Amino acid sequence: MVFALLLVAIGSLPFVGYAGDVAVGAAAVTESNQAVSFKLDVLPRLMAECGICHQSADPHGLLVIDEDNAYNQLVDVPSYELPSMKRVSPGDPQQSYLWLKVNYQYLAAGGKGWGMPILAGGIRDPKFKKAIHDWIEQGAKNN
Amino acid sequence: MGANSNDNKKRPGSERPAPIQQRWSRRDFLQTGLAGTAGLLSAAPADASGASPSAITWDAEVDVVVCGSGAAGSAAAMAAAHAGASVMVLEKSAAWGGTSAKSGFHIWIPNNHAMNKLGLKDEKRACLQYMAEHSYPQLFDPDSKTLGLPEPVYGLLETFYDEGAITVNKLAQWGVSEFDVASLGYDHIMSVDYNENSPYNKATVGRSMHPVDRDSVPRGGAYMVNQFRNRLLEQNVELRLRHRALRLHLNHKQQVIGLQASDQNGKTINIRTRRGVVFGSGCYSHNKRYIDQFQMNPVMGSCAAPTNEGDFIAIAGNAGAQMGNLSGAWRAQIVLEDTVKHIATPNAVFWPIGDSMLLVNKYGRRCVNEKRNYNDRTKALYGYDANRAEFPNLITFMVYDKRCADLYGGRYPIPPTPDALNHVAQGETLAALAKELERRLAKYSAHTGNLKLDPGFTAQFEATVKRFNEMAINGVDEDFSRGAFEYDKAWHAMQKPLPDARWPEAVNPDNATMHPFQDAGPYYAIILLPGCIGTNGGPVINRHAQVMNHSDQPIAGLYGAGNCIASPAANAYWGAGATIGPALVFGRIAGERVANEPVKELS
Repeated sequence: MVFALLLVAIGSLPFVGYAGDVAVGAAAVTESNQAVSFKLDVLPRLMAECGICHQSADPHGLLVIDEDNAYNQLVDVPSYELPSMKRVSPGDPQQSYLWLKVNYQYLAAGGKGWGMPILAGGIRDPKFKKAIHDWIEQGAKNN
Repeated sequence: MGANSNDNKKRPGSERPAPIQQRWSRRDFLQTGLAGTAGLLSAAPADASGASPSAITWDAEVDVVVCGSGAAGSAAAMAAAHAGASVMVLEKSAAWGGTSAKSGFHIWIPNNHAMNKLGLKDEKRACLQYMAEHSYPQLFDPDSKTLGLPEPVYGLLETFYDEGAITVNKLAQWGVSEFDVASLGYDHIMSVDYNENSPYNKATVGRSMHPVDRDSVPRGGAYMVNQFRNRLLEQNVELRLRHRALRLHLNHKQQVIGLQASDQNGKTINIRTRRGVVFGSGCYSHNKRYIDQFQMNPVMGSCAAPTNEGDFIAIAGNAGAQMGNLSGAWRAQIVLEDTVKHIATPNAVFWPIGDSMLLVNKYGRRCVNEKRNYNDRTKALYGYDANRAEFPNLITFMVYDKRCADLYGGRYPIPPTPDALNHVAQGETLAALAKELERRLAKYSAHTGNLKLDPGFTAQFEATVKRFNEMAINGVDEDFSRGAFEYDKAWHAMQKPLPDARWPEAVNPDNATMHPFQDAGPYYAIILLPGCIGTNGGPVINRHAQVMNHSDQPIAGLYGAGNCIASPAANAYWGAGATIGPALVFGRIAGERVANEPVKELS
């Protein structure tokens, strides 16, 4: 059972929270010019926040976010809801549907659906959000 | 006790998940999922594995295996590990956390420390009366020692009361999370119980808690399941994704000595469990065969994790477990189009949100207090019409106007904009909206039991809105008492949007849950089906979370908690977190007990 605040609260309400206190293997990204690692800084948090809906058994938005599939299904792949825009365009967050979704800018760009994580109106953890932004801006490497 | 085996030193991530299909259709999944389940049911011998223990090749050995990584399973694994057992967790899905990962992770815990700190008392007898009356109205006797319930059933409720606060404290001690009394919305309104009207509910607020982080910021399910994951790894618990439990291995005493599972590559493996197995493997919401077999009334979808197929029912059944509450569920309405697109809907309609909003049935009539809680509201909509031999309110239409869309857009199920998702029907007039609903019902007839609007729908619909508007102005819902109850008011208020200059405040401050519809369109509607967050029937447990056989004796070494077992709450939803609260409590009890079980002999 998480909405913008609706913070809804019930036992089973889809809610968006942050991942755990420290995702295993993850490093904090705090400096604006710090190199971001997809495998350490982005993927663990994406899996934690998004993996339950974007799983192979029932991939919402035809996107699977797990260790084997996330990178290949995100980078340079047209988005499902706005095919004219890639999910991740290396070097360009504003042309990356993933960034627009989690930053709640997707509607203005012509996108559809809910903001992600669903109904939270975007990611609320500024560090995680910045990690996504900077990873894309730094070329969306599979590092 | 519980020296770790070599297997237990493996770390998650060492296994490589099998490639996934890029595009699963709902039908594909159901076909393969059901085929797998049917094969399991037909292939499993009556004595569980049927294999002679001496003939089994063990691929791993631990004290305890836990099946499922949601709240129940994680609590069990945590407790067992802290009790000194070597523990392995098997998660069927490729994702960690089950339905709990999608949840708000509120927990309903009687007499918890946080409510006590606020000066709120929760006396045991009164709390048990509230639970018993709500869960078992047909048995309830307030003056009976066991409140009219069979002792084993009473024992579950009593245990939940006694162990709830202890469980919360242990979660904090283990470094999983602190909890505080849940308060919601920008006004921080306290969560009101779902049956606050009960004369036996003496603590209508305070039992619902939410996790908070180190900065006292409320967190949700994604945070919690990963807190569990991180803490379990620190305890050297082995976590395996894409491992599906298949059947139990029993010795000649009918004690559980191991588990057969399929691994991430589909290979069958056997895991020796010296002390026992705990199941926290979730509901059967996505097993259509079970839904059709067990549910008395139609359940047409669920937001439970897509791998929740009720595996424990067959596994425990083959080991001789008795079943309970199989027709039960934590009920909620769901959006029609979500069930067409997905196996697991992204959400459920916990609240038909907004004030200039109402639900009508196929006759264009209101049929329920739209502001009551999701479980009881959905149950109410199962009212059967004996004259017409139908459920007239089974499928409803959540109708709202532009004011409501503007103010509440972005809060499920109202999209950020009306065109952002395809589940919103639109019409410039109520009659035009009815036409659009007819078109959609025709399009999705296979998903609705071929529902059609009554020929008199439009005229009645217009009359219903007119009457609703008059009652909204007066602030009194003469038909369903919407807004007359503390629950209605509190849960509406905690969801209200920030003040918006475009639209006026409620016309009647005495009942903010109602507002007249605008005289002019556009108007909108969303088609809602009866569904659930998860079913809550399965093997029966005792107060130690041990699974019981048909002789009312525990099956040695077999435990269960959460939505995979017969819920202690039966069909009642005591308040926010009544699902995860008992899951944590009985999961923790199971973990502690199984860790202290004697080692079972193989033969």
